Amino acid sequence: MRAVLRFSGSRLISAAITLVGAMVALFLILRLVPGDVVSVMLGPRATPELRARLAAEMGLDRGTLEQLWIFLSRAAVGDFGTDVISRRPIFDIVTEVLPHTLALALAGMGTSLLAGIPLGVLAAWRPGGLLDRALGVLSVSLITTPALVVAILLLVVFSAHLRWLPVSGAGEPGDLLDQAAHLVLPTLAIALGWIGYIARLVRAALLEVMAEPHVRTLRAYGVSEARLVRHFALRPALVPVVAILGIGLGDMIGSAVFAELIFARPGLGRLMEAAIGNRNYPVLQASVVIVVVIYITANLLTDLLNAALDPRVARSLHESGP
Amino acid sequence: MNIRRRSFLLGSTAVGALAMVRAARAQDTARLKVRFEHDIGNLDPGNRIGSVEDNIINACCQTLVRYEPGATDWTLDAAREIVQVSDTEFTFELNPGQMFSGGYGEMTAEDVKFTIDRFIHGDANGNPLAFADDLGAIESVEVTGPYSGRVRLRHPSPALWRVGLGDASGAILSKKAVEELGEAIGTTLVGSGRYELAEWRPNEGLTLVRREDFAGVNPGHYDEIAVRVIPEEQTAALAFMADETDFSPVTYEFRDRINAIPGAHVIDQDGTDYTWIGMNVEAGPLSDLRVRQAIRLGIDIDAILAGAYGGDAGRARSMLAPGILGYWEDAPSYGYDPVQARALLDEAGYASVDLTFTSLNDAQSLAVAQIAQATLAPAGVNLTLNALDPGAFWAMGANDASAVLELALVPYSSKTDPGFQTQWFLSGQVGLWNWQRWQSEEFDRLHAEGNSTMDNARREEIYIRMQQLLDESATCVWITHGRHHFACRDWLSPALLTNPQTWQFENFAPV
Amino acid sequence: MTRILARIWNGPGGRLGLTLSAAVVLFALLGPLLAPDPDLIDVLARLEGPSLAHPLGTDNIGRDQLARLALGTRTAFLYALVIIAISATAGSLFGIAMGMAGGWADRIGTAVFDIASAFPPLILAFGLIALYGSSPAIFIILVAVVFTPSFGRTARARTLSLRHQSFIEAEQLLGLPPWRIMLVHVLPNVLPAVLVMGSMLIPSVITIEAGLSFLGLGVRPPAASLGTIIKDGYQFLNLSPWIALNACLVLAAATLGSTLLGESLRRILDPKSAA
Repeated sequence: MRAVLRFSGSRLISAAITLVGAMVALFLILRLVPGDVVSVMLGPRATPELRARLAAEMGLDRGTLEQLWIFLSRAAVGDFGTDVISRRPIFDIVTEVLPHTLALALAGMGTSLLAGIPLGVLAAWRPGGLLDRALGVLSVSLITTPALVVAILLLVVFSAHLRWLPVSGAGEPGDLLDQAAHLVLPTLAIALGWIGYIARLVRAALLEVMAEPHVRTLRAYGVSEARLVRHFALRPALVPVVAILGIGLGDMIGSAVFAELIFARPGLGRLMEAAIGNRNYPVLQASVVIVVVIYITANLLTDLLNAALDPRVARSLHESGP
Repeated sequence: MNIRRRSFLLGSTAVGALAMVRAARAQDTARLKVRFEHDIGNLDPGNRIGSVEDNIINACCQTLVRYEPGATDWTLDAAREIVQVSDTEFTFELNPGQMFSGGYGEMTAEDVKFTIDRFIHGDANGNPLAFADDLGAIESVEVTGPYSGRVRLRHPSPALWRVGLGDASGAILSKKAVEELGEAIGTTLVGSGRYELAEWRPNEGLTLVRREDFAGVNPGHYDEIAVRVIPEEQTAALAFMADETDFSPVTYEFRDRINAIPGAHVIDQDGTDYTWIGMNVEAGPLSDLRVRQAIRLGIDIDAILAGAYGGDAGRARSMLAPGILGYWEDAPSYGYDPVQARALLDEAGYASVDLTFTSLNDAQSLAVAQIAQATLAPAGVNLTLNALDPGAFWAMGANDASAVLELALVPYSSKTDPGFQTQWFLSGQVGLWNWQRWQSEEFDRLHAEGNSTMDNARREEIYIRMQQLLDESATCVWITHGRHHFACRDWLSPALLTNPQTWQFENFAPV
Repeated sequence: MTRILARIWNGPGGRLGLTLSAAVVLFALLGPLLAPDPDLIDVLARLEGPSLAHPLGTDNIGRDQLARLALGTRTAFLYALVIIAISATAGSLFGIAMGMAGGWADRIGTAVFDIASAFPPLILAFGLIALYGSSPAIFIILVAVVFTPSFGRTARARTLSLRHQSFIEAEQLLGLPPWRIMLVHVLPNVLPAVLVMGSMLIPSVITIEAGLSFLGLGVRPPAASLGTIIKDGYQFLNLSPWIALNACLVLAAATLGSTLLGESLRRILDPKSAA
């Protein structure tokens, strides 16, 4: 137990350090762009008044370290400045679309777990059997088809031809059922690949555990397969799945860009894509910061969950040091 | 007032109306679903971004006068009477009882003065508005009574009514609201018009609700207009086909498919915009008139129209479209003649010419670029294509960034007054929006005269002469005025203005 | 080499992987021989379906899709290979150096990798390309930056496990210069793991390139790559589904083939890692 706590503590600290490091990296990336920072940030809208105002806001007349401090301290409280076009706080602009992307990513994660784990278990039930091989081919095909392609195909087949599901938008606010209907296809687009991936992970881990000596012994004593799986195999088999949850979330946020574009959903991905097209760097930077925070948090929670599930992880990782 | 809330609900009337309309959603006539291609950026009429804002402003605000679709002259809107005292002065008298939304009270002449002063003197921080030029002819506004005022102009201005006072720039704002909201007016609009902005879901859509306390003419037919923001054309067409929208701009690829749907049809309207390939007269070989003429002959416009526009849009022979004052009916049309182009190049002493061709990076612009590249090659002109995203492309309009351009595919949007088009070709616009960097004293002089002459016959002469000068300079290869398509339900009769991208929501009615 | 190929052929999924990958590569290489000029514009023949003259149809300005798709596949593969090569080289050098040096250099390097991994790959690419533009050279470098940490970690891990083996320590005692130890003795042992990582990342690189090109942030039109062709096809999906369909199929085949190939390679070269 102490190992788990120590592990959690050290992971928390390293996550915090990574977060600060990522912010510093963002700060540096912007400063390293050829041309002066203000022109880069304002792009085509650089009137002299706006330039002066932004320069003062960013503290460009002061030293680099001080600018870094201004940037970090402001970001910590969520002050990302004001958008040049609409004059609204950028924090508001980002956080009002954030729930849509989060809903999509979490739904994607949930779907891939709910579908992937049972599929993996089924495949491992009779290794080499028809179901296993079919699932094997299917899962790899699912993994490798990019979310972009899946989204286009889903749109055309399900929305246009079959008319089962809505084409665009996020649904009427307040109408949960409608919003859920609007989530189905985009979620499928980003989750399909991960269903396959998780199925393969579960299958492999399960097979490995089922072949271990203590399980074999129990099987020899006549314990049923089902009980073996439920009591002994499932928990350790889920460890690799939990390990990739954080990465999966990050990947889904990335794929969400395409799903949001093609299904006309509001979200962070679409905001970023529009910001790039408009050369609206402040909005882009704020979006990236939010994504990074989410990603690091997700990875941290994943690691902690992992450690809770499998104490060996905590011990071994702690021993090898950060 | 807490302005920072995402959806700005302007008082209980809007909420109540919204709820009632939602309850009555079964009737199609109560609620109209419309598609916008972009989300709103800034609803301040002085700093608005594009036609989507125009449509909202036109619906939510009143102007002194307005132009009905198809009408050549204005009809009164907020004003009860306009008296033209002289070419440079007029008085107005407002209708009493015109109430602003959000509880901001009645419209008075003070509000009109405040609105116009913002254009003349800048906003609260003294910053000039982006559209200041629309009302640039106005020198001062004087309030002579609670509902009346006097407006003095610097010079006679024929465009003032069409482009300024009768259009979105002339939207009358509530002085109290603007002063109270400050910078938040970019996303909240307080007006006295037929509709009010009840809800805005960023990146998703917005809702306009008809105002019960609007007492003027033409109160609008639909109780609620639900706008959906769908940038992708494919998704937009599918959304229309799935009954998610009732009126939607579409691209020509979907015409046949949508016309085939029972209960729907496509409205086609020629645009008034102008797209051309411009040549920078200061860039190397392009300074030679013969080289420019050669290039003009070496671009196959018909192939471009067939390939990039699907054979759908018509050919433009000059800047001003049919229907705009100054349309040059006898403008020459240059056929594709690579042989003659080759001869001209030889005459100018060039065995071959290498130039860059800059354009936007959407499919249509790219198609134009590639066809131009292919058709110019036999004449000895080799193009390197440079496709830019909108941010980079439009950034060329400032800080002399356009000096590096050689050939450029330029799509400008138009307004109904020719002076608005010709202004981009002035000497003073070099380094800004005159990417051809062509300068002509006569052109500048004619433009100034055209802007201050009230005589339509004289104006027509002027604008035709200006287009002749452009034609002689061979700096612009005109392509098209565009053609717009709208998917529309059979039961809907929409209201499109001369520039089909601007609509009047209050005149959308059941057939 | 032939032994490895034979083992791949006989392993599970290896056959499919080899066949698909070979097919796609062949298609990319032989394309120009089978089909006319991919840049030839024939406006009158736009958006046609498959025919004798154009086996895969034409696009919106009449270009032959067979030729263009072959060109696009070539471009996609070229970019992917160059990106992988650069990030593998950079990652290996960093990883080995960090592993051998230890101490602060190692800690700082690991921190840098962690920071780079704090961004989801696509988002990182977004941010970098938005700021630095996407000319071919910059695009390659930026995407390589995104993938370098993966190689770096692999190389570092292998180096660490090698470092304490006796032959390395012996060489250090003998006074051999560090760079010689790294290059001659450590690198060859790290290479297989790096190769495996590379083969596993190829599909990711292809996918990211296609995705970014689709968004207009990668290969810029009118140049062809799988991503730009899918974008064109998507916009004209209504009038001719062939463009998008064919490009999607090739993309799926390329990623599927390279994934299977990568897994087979991993099974053979690095059996210690779990399936």
